[in-house]
Amino acid sequence: MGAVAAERRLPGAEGLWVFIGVDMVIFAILFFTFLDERHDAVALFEAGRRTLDPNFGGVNTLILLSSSWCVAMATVRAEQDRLEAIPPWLAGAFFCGLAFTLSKVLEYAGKLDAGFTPATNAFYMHYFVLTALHLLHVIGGTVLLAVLWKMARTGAFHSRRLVVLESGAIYWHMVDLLWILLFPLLYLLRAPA
Amino acid sequence: MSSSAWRPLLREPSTWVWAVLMAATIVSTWGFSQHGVPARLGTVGVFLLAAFKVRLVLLHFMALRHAPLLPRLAFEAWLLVVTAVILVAYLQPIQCGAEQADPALSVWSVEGAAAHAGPVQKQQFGSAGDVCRLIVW
Repeated sequence: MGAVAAERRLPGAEGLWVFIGVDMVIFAILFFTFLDERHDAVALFEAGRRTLDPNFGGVNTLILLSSSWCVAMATVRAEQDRLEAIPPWLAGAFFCGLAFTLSKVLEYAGKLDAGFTPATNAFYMHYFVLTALHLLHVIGGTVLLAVLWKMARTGAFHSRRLVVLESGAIYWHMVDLLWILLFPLLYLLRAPA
Repeated sequence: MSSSAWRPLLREPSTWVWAVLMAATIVSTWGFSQHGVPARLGTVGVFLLAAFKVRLVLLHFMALRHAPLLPRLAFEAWLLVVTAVILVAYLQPIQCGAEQADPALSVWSVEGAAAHAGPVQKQQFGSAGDVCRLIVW
């Protein structure tokens, strides 16, 4: 038991966990604000929700989960000192990040074409603000993954040098985690009919 | 990729966690949220599955299962609070007429949104009050 307790550690840089915690609290507050406004205008929010295509959100969730898996696999390979096996997994995660961004751009284009903007109503204001804020995290994370991929190709990560890779991985998993809640909140919160 | 290339991957816990996350997403997006499933039941199911998925990401992908107790509890508490607030807010009774009291939530906004949703929705959303009554009913 004592040995297990001694092994307990947070992966990545400790300061990163503080940043992640603060970021998650900010998103939680935004979720609560959305719910509060929805409660005062359920009909409006339900009408807005029905104009969204859940297929976009669902596929985007599958893309982000797959990218998280790729990052987790890359980290395991670094822990096992299988250096040549790390870059392909990071490349997979990077291309998933690109795919999510592309899908989101297509979705935004469709909405703007149909005349929906943040000024349309309260639902669309929340939709654009929440998804754009999340998309900024995805874009930042995708750039980070490209950097990690490049570093991995030069053999920068191994079992005694994990902090940078682990920190990037933790950040990317948080981006995934936030989308897991944001997607149903905007697309799947059905008002009873 | 050939099946023999996949076999070593199946021995890794991360692969199983990923497979469960993917399956849960398919069930919630294309199962629980379909019209055949009652809205309240389906939506509660969607969020319970989402909470389960977030916990898997926290404990396995973010490795909090090997973390000291305090940070692990802090992140698990975040998930508990967020899930509870979403479910309580969703299941709260709805007050009809609230949208008419707020000029920012005018009827045209609902009709405008419904117009883009197609003829079926447009027919359902004659006015904000109609929709509210429909929802409460």
